[in-house]
Amino acid sequence: MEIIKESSGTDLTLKLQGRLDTATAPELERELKDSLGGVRALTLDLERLEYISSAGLRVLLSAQKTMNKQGSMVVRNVCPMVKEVFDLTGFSDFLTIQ
Amino acid sequence: MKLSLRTKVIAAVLLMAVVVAGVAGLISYNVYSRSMEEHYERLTMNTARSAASMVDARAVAALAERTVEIYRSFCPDAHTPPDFDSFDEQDWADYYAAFDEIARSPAYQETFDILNTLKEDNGVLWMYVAYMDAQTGQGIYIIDADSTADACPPGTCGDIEPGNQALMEQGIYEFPPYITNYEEFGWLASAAAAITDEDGTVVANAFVDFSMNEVVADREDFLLRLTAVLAAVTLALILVLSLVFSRTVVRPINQLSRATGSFVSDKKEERGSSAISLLDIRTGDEVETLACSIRQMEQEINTYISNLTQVTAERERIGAELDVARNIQTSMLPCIFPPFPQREEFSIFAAMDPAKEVGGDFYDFFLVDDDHLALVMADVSGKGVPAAMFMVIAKTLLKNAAQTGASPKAVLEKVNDQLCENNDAGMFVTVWLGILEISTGKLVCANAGHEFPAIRRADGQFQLFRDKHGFVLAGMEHSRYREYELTLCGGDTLFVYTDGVAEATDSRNQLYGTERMLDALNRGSDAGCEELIRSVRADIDAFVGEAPQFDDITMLALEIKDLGAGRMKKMGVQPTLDSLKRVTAFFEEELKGHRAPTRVVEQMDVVADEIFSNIVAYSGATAVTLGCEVGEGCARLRFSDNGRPYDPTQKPDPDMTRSPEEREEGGLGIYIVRRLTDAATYYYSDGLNVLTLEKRW
Repeated sequence: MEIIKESSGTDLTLKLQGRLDTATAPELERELKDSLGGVRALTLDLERLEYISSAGLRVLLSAQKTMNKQGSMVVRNVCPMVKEVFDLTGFSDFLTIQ
Repeated sequence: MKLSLRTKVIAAVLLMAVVVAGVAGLISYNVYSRSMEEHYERLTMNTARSAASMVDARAVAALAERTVEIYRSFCPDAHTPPDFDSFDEQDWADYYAAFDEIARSPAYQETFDILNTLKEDNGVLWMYVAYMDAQTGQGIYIIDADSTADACPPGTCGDIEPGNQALMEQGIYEFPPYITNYEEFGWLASAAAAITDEDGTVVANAFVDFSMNEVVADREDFLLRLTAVLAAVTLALILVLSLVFSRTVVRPINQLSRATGSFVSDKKEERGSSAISLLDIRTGDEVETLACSIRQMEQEINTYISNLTQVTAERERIGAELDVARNIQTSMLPCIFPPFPQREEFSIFAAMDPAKEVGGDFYDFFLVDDDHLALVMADVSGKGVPAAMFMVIAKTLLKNAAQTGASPKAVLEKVNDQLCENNDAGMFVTVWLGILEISTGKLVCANAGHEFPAIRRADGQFQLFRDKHGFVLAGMEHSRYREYELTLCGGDTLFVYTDGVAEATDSRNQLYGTERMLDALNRGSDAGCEELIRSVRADIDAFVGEAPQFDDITMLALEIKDLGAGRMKKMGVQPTLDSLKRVTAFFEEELKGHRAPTRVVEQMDVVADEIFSNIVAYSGATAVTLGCEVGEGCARLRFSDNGRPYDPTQKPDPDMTRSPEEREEGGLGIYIVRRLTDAATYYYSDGLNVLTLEKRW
């Protein structure tokens, strides 16, 4: 998985490419931990994400929790497969999906 | 015929008595008769001599001379006696009348008186004086000292005894005593003495006859009495002997016989002291010695019996322990059939019949992982307990080594080295080891000095597969083994066995042999593994007949089922996150290869990720096997791992309506899987978690 980071002030956009699975989720978790300080608006662009597993969901959940405290989080360009998982797991209910 | 000792002794004594009495009687009779005869002979002779000396020889000479003169007047010539046979009564009267003057002469009267007195005094039967006329062979009576009417008048003639005639011819006129038995006179002892004048001329003979009838009667009486006395003595002897014998021999022997006869019954009723020990036999002879010996024998038998009882009890204990050992050994071998009811890819059956209580043969089969089945057929040298113990070690080591996933070659080499350590008993084991990759039918085998396996290809016949043997296990340290590869396809059957099969021996010492085994296998080839082994076993039994089973008979059969196209593709992976890509790639390839919709492929990626990462994170497994089978509009995904038992289908769904703050981490993965698939089944068997997921589209 590749993570492309675009930052401007307190806005942070992370473009995720490939698979957010058990093997790669820790990578994203680390990245978020390092980059979320002072961020008010987090945007996750999932256009190129092939699929997400529960490990990825946990990272998203954790990011959502953090952003609930310091700003907002938006998830963008969700492909049908990932959307299905969000729907299945109820993540669609609390994620802001654009 | 059975005779008692007493009867035998009495019979012997009786026989002895008869013989002794017979001999004694004969001797006594002879001695008695001889002495009587001698006595009478002497008496007769002495009396004859007395008579000859007492008579007046001159008077007798005159009488004799006149008598002979008259006699001669009747003789036809000097050498012929008168013809008495032709005499009639008148002739006889005339003849005796001619001698009348003799009887009337005073000399006759005088001599008669002397002789008669002598005769009466000495109890002589007859006493007479006669002239022995040698010329005519006649004795002519001169005086018969008999006053009865039977007396012989002078001139009476009689033939001279032939013996006396012979003496006279030698000039001897004294006739020694002799004993005759004429019917007319009875038993007589006779003798004659010569009457001589002054010149020594024999003038006549004085004859004396003693009757011996009384003596003979006495003699018979003596014999009778002797016999009676002997019989009485014998009877008395028998009575005494039988009494003594009965007291000293028969009674003690009967006591002994009763006591020894009741030995076993005494023993059974557990009486305090046996009849033998109570025996009191004090005869001071061999019977007492016999009683002593029997007493001693009883003690020794008692000691022996108690020893034997102990030994028997010990043997029974050992037998019971051997039974337990046999149970343990039997339960060590997989014995529940079918062993893997969920596995449709193959069927397996095995049997071990030990020759003794516990055997040295063993078979084993177990899943190394979901896709690898290990098969072991082995035969430990020797039999009985040592072989069984060695078998336990060998079996355990083989299984441990094989379960690490090592190749057969590596397993054998490792186990060989392990067995060689501390193998002081010098035992060894032949092993055929095969590891089957179930999904592909690839069978990797190695043979450590074991029998050739037999293989039947689908629709073919069983044939021996002559593989390359290595050295036996535990034979030599650092032995190297070669492994080889076979591919078993659907319908193929593998048969492995121990030498107890090929070397089963009938009563004529013929070996069963692999040819007969192959024939039996081919006869029962389509019946399934269990039937196959039972039919070989029955064939061996029929061949062996009554002969005893010398060696353990152990067989294993494996049949690969023909599942057609439905066979699941499998792949083994290490349970690390690094393998995750290979895992998803494996399923993707299978699904795409079968033209599954892209969406399904993606969903199954998620599913595979969730399940595999769960196994990696929580199960502690060391091996994971993936399986994938794709059909028309459906797919089955299989995950098997050797980790802790865990059934994901039993996990409750997390609450999906909670807000992010309330949510717990975890539990989502299984939930996603459940939602993305249509069915899930789980079982745990042979140390493996097996989860099968079904997806339809």
